[in-house]
Amino acid sequence: MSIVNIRIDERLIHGQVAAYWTNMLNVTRILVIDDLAAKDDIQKMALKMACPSTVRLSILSAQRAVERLNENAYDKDRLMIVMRGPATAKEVLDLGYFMPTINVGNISNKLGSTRIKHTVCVTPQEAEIFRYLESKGVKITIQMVPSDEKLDFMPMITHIH
Amino acid sequence: MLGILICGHGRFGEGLIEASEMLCGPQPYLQALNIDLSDDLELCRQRLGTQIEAWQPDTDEILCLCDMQGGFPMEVCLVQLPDQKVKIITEATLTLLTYLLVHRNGSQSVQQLVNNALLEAKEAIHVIDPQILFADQRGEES
Repeated sequence: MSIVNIRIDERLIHGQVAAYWTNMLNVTRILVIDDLAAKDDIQKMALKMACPSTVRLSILSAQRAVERLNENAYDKDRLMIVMRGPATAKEVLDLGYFMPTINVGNISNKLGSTRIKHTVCVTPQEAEIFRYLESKGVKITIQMVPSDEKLDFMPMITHIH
Repeated sequence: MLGILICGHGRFGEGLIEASEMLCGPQPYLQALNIDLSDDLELCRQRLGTQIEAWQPDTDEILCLCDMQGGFPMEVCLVQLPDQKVKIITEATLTLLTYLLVHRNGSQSVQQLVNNALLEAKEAIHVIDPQILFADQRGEES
């Protein structure tokens, strides 16, 4: 199993953005880790429709995803993991699965958030979670689409508390 | 490099491009040609010609995506029919455009690219049906 990309994207999978990444990295499976989506038929339908037709799709709760990852379930796949926000990343880490690098693609504007890049807005709470992830050895980058420059994320949120 | 022009009524092209940039980021060799119904046909054709000229050394082929089959923007583009390096395609949708943008630098020939883009664009036009949820066998969920 080869994990080719781990992404934080509040939109999870969206149409051609997914196609862009899956094409560039020859992804064979997308694993969406999201407790709510795993139980919600409508969200699952949206995800199935957005996932490129040639790419396999798993939609799992954090608990189940960690089990599957730790048992090396996606042995033959080039896997892309997608999570809605840093809270899910923390949950996955705390449940026992280490992700060496996480890329931040999209986090939407919420009350109290600071826009650090066109598609990324971070609240103080989210900034704390990112700092927690960093303290556990996770490298965090920011890159919306593969043609964007890949930048270091943490320096961009030092002022958010 | 494949150039893509969106020819449409009013600011159709600008809107479509703005939407595509939200998904794919800013893209080179992607331009809108805004056409008003009251514009002069010849003047529009000159504008089109000028845009194609401007891309000449850098693009091998150019796709003119028109917003509507049989509309005035398509009529403007018809002058380019004899040019082997220009393909006129109707109708422009976001799925069509983003497919082209994602795959145009890949290994497909222009013919394959266009065929696959049209296939995907057409398949994306339908009523959303809950049965699709159950028909899709690719997944794993719990």
